[in-house]
Order: sequence, then C-alpha cells, then structure tokens
Amino acid sequence: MFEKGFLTQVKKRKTDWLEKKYSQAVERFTERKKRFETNAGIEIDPLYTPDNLEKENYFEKISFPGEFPYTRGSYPIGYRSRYWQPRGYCGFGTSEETNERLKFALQQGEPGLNVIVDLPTSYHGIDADDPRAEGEVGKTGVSINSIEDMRDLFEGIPIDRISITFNTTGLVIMAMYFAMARERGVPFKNLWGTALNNPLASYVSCNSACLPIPEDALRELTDIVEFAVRNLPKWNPMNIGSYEYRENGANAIQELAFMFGNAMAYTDSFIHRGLDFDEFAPKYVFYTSVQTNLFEEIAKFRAARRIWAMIARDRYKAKNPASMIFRIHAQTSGFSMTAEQPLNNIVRETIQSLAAALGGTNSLYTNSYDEALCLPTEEALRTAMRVQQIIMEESGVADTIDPLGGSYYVETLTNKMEERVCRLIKEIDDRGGMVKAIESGWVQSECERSIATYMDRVEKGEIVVVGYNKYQIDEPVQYGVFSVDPKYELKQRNRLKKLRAERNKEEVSKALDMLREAAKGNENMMIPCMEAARARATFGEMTEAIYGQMRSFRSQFKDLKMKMYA
Amino acid sequence: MSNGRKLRVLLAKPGLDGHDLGIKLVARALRNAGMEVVYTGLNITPEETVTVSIQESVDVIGVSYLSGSHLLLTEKIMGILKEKDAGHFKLVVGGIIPEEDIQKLKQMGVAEVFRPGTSVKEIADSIGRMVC
Repeated sequence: MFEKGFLTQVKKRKTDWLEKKYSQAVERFTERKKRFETNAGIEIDPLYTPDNLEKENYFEKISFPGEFPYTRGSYPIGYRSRYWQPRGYCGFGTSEETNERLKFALQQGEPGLNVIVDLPTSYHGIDADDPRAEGEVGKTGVSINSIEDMRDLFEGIPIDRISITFNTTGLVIMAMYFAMARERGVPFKNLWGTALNNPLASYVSCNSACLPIPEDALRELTDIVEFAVRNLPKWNPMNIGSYEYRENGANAIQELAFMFGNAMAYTDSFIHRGLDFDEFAPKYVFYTSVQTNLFEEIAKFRAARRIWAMIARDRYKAKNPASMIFRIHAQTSGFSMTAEQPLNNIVRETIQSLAAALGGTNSLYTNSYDEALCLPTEEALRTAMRVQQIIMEESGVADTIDPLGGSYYVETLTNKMEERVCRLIKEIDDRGGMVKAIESGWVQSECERSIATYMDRVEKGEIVVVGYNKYQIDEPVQYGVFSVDPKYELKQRNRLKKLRAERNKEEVSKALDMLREAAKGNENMMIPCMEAARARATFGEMTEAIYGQMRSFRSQFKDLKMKMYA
Repeated sequence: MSNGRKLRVLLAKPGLDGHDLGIKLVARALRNAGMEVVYTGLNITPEETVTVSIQESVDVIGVSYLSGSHLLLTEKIMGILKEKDAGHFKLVVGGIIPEEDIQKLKQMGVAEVFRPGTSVKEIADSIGRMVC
C-alpha cells in the first residue's frame, strides 16, 4: 500500500519515537495497564502507523464497497441512499392485540414488521391450553396456535408489499404463514420477509424443549430452505446467527467463528440435498451481536464480510457475487445492560449502535435500557429507536462509506480479527465441523470458559462495568412491572377451544397422519405441514407430529449440563 | 454444614424461559464457595424440581425466573413441597422480580429473593448463612 522508501522512513522514526518520546512519557506518567487489549484479548499497541499495513494489498484485502472481498461494505452505495434498517419487535397477547400494534407501527412509517412470538409457541411448540403453558401465554410475545391466529395477526396488513420478520426457528410457523397467505390469495412469489431459523445456536442457548438432534434439526431447516428457494424468491428463509453464542459468553472472535461454523454446516446440508450454492447463498442473512468495545466491534463487522467472501469463493466455489455478500443484521447486547443506574444503558446502546453503523451493518435492533429490570416499557422502546435515529440524522457518520477504512488501527485490528477467526474455523473443521463440535460439548464449554474468565475479571475489577463494580451509588432500584394482562391468556384459550370445536376432526387427523409420515421419511415436510395448517391443526399438534418422529437431543443435553455444573 | 458435610444446593430453572446464563454463573459461584451444586437444566416442572431435590437430598433449592411466571410456579413448588412433606427445604428465588411481588413470594415461604444487581458473592454468603 505504501512505497518502500516511505515505509523505511516511517519505521525508523517510529522506533525513535517509541524509544525516546514514548518511553520517556511512560517513565514519567506510567501506563494505566500492564497490557492493553480488546475484549477478546487482542493486544493493542500505543500507536498505529503506515508500517502496520506494510504487507497489505489494498485491492485484495480492502478494495471498494460492493466489491470483493467487501471489507468496506456489502453494497456500493453504503448509507448514502438509505440508512440501515432500524428494527423494532412487537408481539403480546393474542393475534388481535398484536395486529393493532402492527398497524400502529406501519402508520409510524416502519419499513417492515417484526413479530415476536411467545415462549410456549416459539420455543416449545405447545398450545395455549397445554398445562405447561400456564402463565406464559402471550407474555413475551404473541400466542400463535393456528392458521386463524395467523390470519388475524396480519388482518388488513399488506403482506405482499412489506417485509415481515419472525423471531422463530422451525418449520411449523413458516407453514402456517405460507398457508395463511394462500388462503388470502397472496401469491408466494410476492411474500417478502424472513425468519430466524438458526437451529444450531439453540444447542448453546438451549432455549427449546423440543430440540431434535442436530442431524434432524438440519433436515427440518433444509426442508424450509428448499421450499423457499423453489417457491419464494423474495423470502429469506434463515438468519445465520451468532447472537446466542455471544450472549452466552463467546467473545467477538468465537462469535464469528461459531457463526461461520453454523453457516458451513447449513450450507453442506443444503448442498447434500441437491441445492446449488449460488441459488441459496444470496438469501443468507447473518445475525450478530454488537457490544461496547467500539473498535473491536467495527473490526469484527469488516472482518466478517471479508471472511465470508473468502469462504464463499474458495470453499464453495461461488460464481454469483451475491453469494459472497455478508448481509448483517446486528442487535445491541442485552448481556451488557446493568440493573444499576439503568439510564447508563442508553449510553451503552449508543456506543454499540454506533459500532454497528461504523461497521456497515444492514439492519439494526437496539435493545431497551430497562432490559435488565423488566420487559421493555414504551418509553424505553421509543428511546432505543431514537438512539438509532440520532446516529442516522445528527451524527453524520452515515455520510461517507466505511469512514474508518484506511485507519491504521482499524485495518490492523480487522486483519488480526480475521486471522484469529480463521484459526478457530480451522479448529472447528479439525473437530469434524460444527455439528460434531456441538455434540461433543466443545462449543458450549468454550462459551462457558469465556464467560467464566470474563466474570472473574469483572469481580476482581480488572474489567470495569460502570455502576456495577465502579462508580456505584446507593440507589433504590427501579423495577418495572410485567404489564401483560393475564386476561389475554384466557382469551387465547377460548379462541383455541372454539377452533377445536368447529374444525373438521377427521380432516385434521388425516392431515396430521400425512405430516407424521413425511417426518418419518425423507419427503419435504412443508407441503404436508401447510395442509395440516389449512385443516386447522394446532401448532402443538403439528409440532408433535414432526418432533415425535425425530430423535430428541434434550435428555442427552441435560446430562451434559449436569456434568458441567454438578 | 453443621454435620460436616458440604452444603448441597439444587439450582433449577422452572418454566419455559431459556435465559440461563445467570443461574449458571450462580452455580459456579456456589461451587467456588465450597458448596455442592446440582443444576437441573431448563424447563423443569415444579414436580421435577421437588422430586430431584428429595432424591439429591439438598439443603437449599434455588430457582431462577426471567419471564414473569415467578408467582405461579413458586406457588406450585411450595404446594408440592408441603404435599410431599418436604417443607424443610429452604427455597430461594432469583431473577427479574417486581418490587410488589417480593412480599408475596416471602409470604409463600420463600427464604430469600435475589434480584438483578445482587453479586454472586452476596448470593453465596446469604445461602451459606441460611444453613448453619
């Protein structure tokens, strides 16, 4: 990147500066720490200069926005046409209540709608009238038990013209949505949106009771992706997420490596099914966490784009440039929020959102400052959205593309991040891939090791968390309340009771039998599941029909945890 | 502890919520404080919580709630403890618990409620003091 003579001169003067000026200053004032490092442990020098990029080939490693290897951005235009997409989620009570909220969000000019589903539905596949669901129905999201709930959820909303996002993993909810669209007469080719569908991360965050073994989970995901690739050109069937890993303790390096581990396991499964990489990879969206260590996070986004471009080109021989583009959805870190002095969390959110913007994210969700205390209040949700809008409209950081590109420090950190992530990806390969790495418990224990080290350092005060282990005050902690009225649970149970009474029982049981057969064999489960949804089978019934035929990971996983913690 | 054996604690996460980083860190802290910890994993039912506590003959049961189902599930656990004549267990609750529910939980017989901001050391000390 630089001429030899210039570099020789820089190196010489840098050595002089370090040995004379800087050492003298250190002698006089001493450094704050013995070692400066990023959260993931990458050592930080006092100063970065052109010689740090001595070996850098600008065209190969940095290049231009929208050009291989995409270090400077996924698309040529950056934020000069549109900002990143701000995202907010909504969902509570029954589909009727959430429908009102969705319509309100549309009126406010939100570009897409994001539906969050309650715990019984999304993680456990049980209906509102299941005894295990008591007290949880419609609480942390909307309760969806049947195609009729799905119909009422989107009543009056133009699902053929706006993007819809579900925070769910699994085929049943997709089948219900697609079947609802068909009943409404909306052609599949017009359906636009995405769903989380990131099953491998669930083995670490372990938030699903009906988790099959990874092999079966991959088959279910492949059914979804195959159906979407063949029928829904505007639907992104999955988000390859690392948020769960990061929030369960992984550092930024592990986060990326595990995310690419997932991506490769999914990709291999789709290729094995006979799908073409260049057909499905352009639909990939990656979903990352963003924490407060500003430059490390910026470097993480930049490195991630470069690493994925290399994986797509070299490992999967991509020919379509769209297959090599790393599209990012980022979410600020719930883990970093403190219960102490909760307003401080707005500052954390701001730094994290700024990191995502400077890193070139394509969409962003900002958490609420009261997350450590309660389900978000209206005020906290609004403030989270304002954090993004202030960065967009007032800070000016979106006015040029990749403003930190060429920074000696950021480019060096991007290279170091890439190097460490690739080393860890190699280790995942050596362990036989991500599925084996999860089955053996290695990924889980890596996350746990990181979080244990982190917490030890926080407890010793080596890592400062403002308001928690430094600058504490005596304060009455302001806990919010859970504002979801229990009457919605009752309402949902009544809706379900009515559905069960009015549907054609014979038709339902026939459709469920077909779904069970499909799950047992190799047939794609999407069509029979859509048929069961049409016949008014419930979410719980369809989940049971599918997972009842699969091998459960759960008991095995429980033992693993017992072993680690007992 | 009084009879010379290690204090035994069962940690459980009843209900459907899957956020268990907090309880895992507590598990680690209690173990570092010299206690024996049995962690049941997620989504355990109130019945299972009590059954495992009896089988493992623990001294203290710790449960964590983050999704707002603390009153309902704690009441169930307490009911089953009484049914099984196992009222001698100390039950402690951790997680996101609104102010007005603390008294309600204590009236049910909960020995202590630990909310966000409580350090793991405070939790370990408090549990240690409970069974001396």
